[in-house]
Amino acid sequence: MRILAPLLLLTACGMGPSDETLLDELRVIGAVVEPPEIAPGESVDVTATVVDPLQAGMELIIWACTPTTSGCAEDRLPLAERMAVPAMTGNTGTATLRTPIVPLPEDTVISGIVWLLACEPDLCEVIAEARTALANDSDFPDALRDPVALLQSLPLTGVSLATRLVGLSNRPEGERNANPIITVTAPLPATILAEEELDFPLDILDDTVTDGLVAVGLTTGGGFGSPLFDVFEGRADLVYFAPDQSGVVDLYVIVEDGNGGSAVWTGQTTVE
Amino acid sequence: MLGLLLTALALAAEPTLPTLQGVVPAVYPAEALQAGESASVLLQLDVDATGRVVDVIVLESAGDAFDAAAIAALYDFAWNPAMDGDGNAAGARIQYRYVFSPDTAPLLSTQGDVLGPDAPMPGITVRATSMDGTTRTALTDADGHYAFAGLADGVWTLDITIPGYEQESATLDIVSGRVSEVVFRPVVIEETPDDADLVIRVAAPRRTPEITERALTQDEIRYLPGTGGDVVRAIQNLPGVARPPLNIGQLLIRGTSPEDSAYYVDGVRIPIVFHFSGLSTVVAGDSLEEVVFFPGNFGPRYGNILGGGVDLRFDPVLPEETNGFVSIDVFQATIFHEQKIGENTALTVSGRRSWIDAILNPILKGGNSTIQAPRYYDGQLRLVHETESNGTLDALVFFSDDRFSIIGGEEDDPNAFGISLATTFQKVRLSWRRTTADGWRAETTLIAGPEAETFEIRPAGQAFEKAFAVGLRHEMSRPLQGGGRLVLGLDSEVRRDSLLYDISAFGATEEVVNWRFNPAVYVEPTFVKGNLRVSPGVRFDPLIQSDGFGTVAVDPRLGARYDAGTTGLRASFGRYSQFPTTRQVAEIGSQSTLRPASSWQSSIGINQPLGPFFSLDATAFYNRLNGIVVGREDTFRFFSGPPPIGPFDTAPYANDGTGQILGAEMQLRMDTDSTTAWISATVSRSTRVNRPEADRRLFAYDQPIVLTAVSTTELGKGWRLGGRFRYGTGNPFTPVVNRVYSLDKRQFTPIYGPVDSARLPGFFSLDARIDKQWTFARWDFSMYLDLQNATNAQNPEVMSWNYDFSEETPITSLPTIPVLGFRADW
Repeated sequence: MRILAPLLLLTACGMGPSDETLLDELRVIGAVVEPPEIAPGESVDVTATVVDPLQAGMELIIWACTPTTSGCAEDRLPLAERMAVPAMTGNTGTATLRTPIVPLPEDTVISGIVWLLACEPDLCEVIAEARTALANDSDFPDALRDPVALLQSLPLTGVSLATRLVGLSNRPEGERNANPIITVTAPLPATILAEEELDFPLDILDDTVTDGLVAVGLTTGGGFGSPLFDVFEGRADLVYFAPDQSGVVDLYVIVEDGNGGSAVWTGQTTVE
Repeated sequence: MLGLLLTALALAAEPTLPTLQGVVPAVYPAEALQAGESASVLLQLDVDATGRVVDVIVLESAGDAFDAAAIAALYDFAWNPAMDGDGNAAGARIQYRYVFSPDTAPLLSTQGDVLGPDAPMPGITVRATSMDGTTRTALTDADGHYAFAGLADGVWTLDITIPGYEQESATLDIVSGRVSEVVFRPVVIEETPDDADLVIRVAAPRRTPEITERALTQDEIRYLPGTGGDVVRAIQNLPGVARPPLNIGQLLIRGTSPEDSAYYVDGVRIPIVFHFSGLSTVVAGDSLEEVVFFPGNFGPRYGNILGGGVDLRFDPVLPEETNGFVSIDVFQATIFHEQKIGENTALTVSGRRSWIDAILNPILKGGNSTIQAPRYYDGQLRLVHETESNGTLDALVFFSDDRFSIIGGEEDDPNAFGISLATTFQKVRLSWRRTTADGWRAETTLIAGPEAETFEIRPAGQAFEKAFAVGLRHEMSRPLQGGGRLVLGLDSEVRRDSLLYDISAFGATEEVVNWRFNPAVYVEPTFVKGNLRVSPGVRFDPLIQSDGFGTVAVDPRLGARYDAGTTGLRASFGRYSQFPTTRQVAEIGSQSTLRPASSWQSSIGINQPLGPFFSLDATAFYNRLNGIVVGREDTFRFFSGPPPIGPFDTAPYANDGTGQILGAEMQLRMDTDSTTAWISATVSRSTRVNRPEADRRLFAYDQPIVLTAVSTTELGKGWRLGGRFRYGTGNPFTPVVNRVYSLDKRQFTPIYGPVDSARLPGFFSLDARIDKQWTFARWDFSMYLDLQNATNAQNPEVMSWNYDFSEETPITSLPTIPVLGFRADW
């Protein structure tokens, strides 16, 4: 019974609000790529959602690097078309990036990778380096070619690195993946009671993906009943538990189709 | 020529005194020897006309102990009788001075007690007879104790004849440097056998002991706190053994991994030795004569391992009478019965089954999942027959089955998600032990049967490692002139391996079927000169596979032991090899250039009595490992311990790994009439360099300090109290220094720091045990409470992390577990 012991560790379970849904530190929670699937060489808009619960401030850098044996597939692109240090509007920042030019057979979909790094101010020197490079139109910072090595040199807290796949194909536009659309069927109340349990159903419209859609609930106070809610027949029934203390809380619902398509819904309520 | 003849006749006519034929070394009084005391005793002997000593009295005493030892030895002296004036043999009275010197003290060969139904029996003659007819005698002292020293290596029979009691005898193999124990409990003839408390325990080894090996007695094992009375779990308290993570039951021996050590039944390899979580051994401990633990630097008898091993040796001696027991505790139930069939045959039946599933399943079952809690069982059926030529035929069928599963849905739903594990084997063992007329002792053991380890992920995905293995060991040994011994052996195995790793997450592979043939031969002569014993040996280990792969290992080994008075010194040096596994070879089959990994092992040690109650055994060792097979850590495999965490070496298998293990281990024992206690301590450092360009790093199982203190004391009236303290440095682990969040998969992926560069906190545990035994006319009943982890220490066993790797959340050891058990012996 040599591998039994580790499997015993799998039997843990929990009840009530899930700790995983509470945002208590800086984190990139979503990135909507529009469109989520595109022909190689064309551009996409990447809108990042970054939550800063500690109000420490933040910087964001978004860049494209799809690893190849010799570097990144985007290495031939001009610097400004593969990297951006966007200004933040509230907790979102948007960049327009060009996808790499790669030959693709028909009906084949591959993924490019977009990286999003959020840091508390002055914590990540590479962001300042990137700003300088963009201003001077100089070389792509080497540190961004190997994000894993970059992370090994950065602190665990105050830093959040996320990845988003971008579908690349030569399929006709009508066959390409599209982002889902979230419709709140029961509006979030302006106030709720402390420790109140709130059913929060959503309608999810996705014309291109029907299986594998999931809804993720995140919040700055309290918690959702589960880290993931399955979307079944266009509907997700989230459950939210308010915190035991009064105050304003932000709620986020992110829907993912698993192929790069996503949508972000943001709401706010006051706990009394 | 005529002149010489006349002179001889003239001399024959002169009366002569007895002349000495052979001196028998006296047993040196132990306390005097430890103190380095010398002495001489002047004795008066009456030698009869046959040359036999018929009476001895002390003329000049050197104290009771020396006097008794000298008298006992003098009775065994062989004399040419005195001659009278007519040339006829005649009785005579002479004086003889026996000189005791610590420098020439003979090695103690065997000792024991003669215990009557109510008390020790003083003044009983114990006779020892060798294969060539040499006879020695010893008288029991006031405590019923006897001893023989300086017996030549070989087979000896001890017997006692007491008027009014049944005659008792025991056969044992005397080997220089090892003290065998035989306890006689003679039975009064008038009593019915059922009422008699008759046990003969022969603890003598039937083979040449390893230079470094350790053994525990049945009593030490049965009452050891925290082990549940299990034989092999008890070994985890010995020096050189580190505590495995999660108490998985594997042995981590001298800084090596569990896969580097092996387990044997009568010298033939078996796949596992522990049930799930190491709760108990897979065979009944009461059937065993000895459990041999060799932590390293062993002789050429064992091969294909870089670490150490455990050999479970079944007792070849027939039980004196039918006996057995039933035991029940919170984990398992065991039944053991040994039935005497006639004078020369015995049948043993034993079985064990765990309770864990019966207790946990109703609790775990619920919702949409079916959880089959861990459960195991094993069984043995054994027939032993003593042949007319003093040999033993021994047939054994034994099997073991461990299972565990979680099924997310109905059990018979083929689409339900689930995970299940099983480890099973079924074996038949035939053994024939005999001593030939020309002095060869031969032992042939054949073990055959299937074994399997299976892992299934429902609905699609399974992995297994199955085999049908036939192992044959044939070993012959005989004494050499001067007290040495020659051992020749064949240690072969043929196995059909069938492997499948069809787990999509790890990359599915085709089923591999391969035959392996490993016919190893070895030779190990032991030469004795004075107090020095030297054992050079060599093992020739070829491996041939049906896919065309083949390799060979030649391992020379040398062991030496020197006994300077009560101090024993030992040193060993040798090469040890371990073949690449079938799985590793299968990656490229016959084109594989993999070769055996090797380890040059060296050690020096000392054992020293410290007064009448204490003894110290210490060993220092250094092992250098080369050609360790590394790579493909990203593929599925059956782990012996917690699965490793990344980053993984994904390159093809290669003999690129090297390593060093440096350490020292010590055991300080205390043995009194009522108390057995010891402290085991191991200090070591085990490092590896996995690829030529890689940095040296700590080995995953490196534990610099392992400390165990054990004590068990008889309190009288059937009560016994024991305690165990354990401390071990935490295992190394690879820290997580950051994480990446995949928005598409909605999960964090850890970014690791240097491999095994962090260490878990140390392990601390205190166990306590109390036993009470009631003795009745026909049976005994005992109960015990074994309080494991009495202080409820929260010991980190394996590092784990929360969902986003921002916090370390180690998996901790089991909380306090009170194990209540009952046992009835008949």
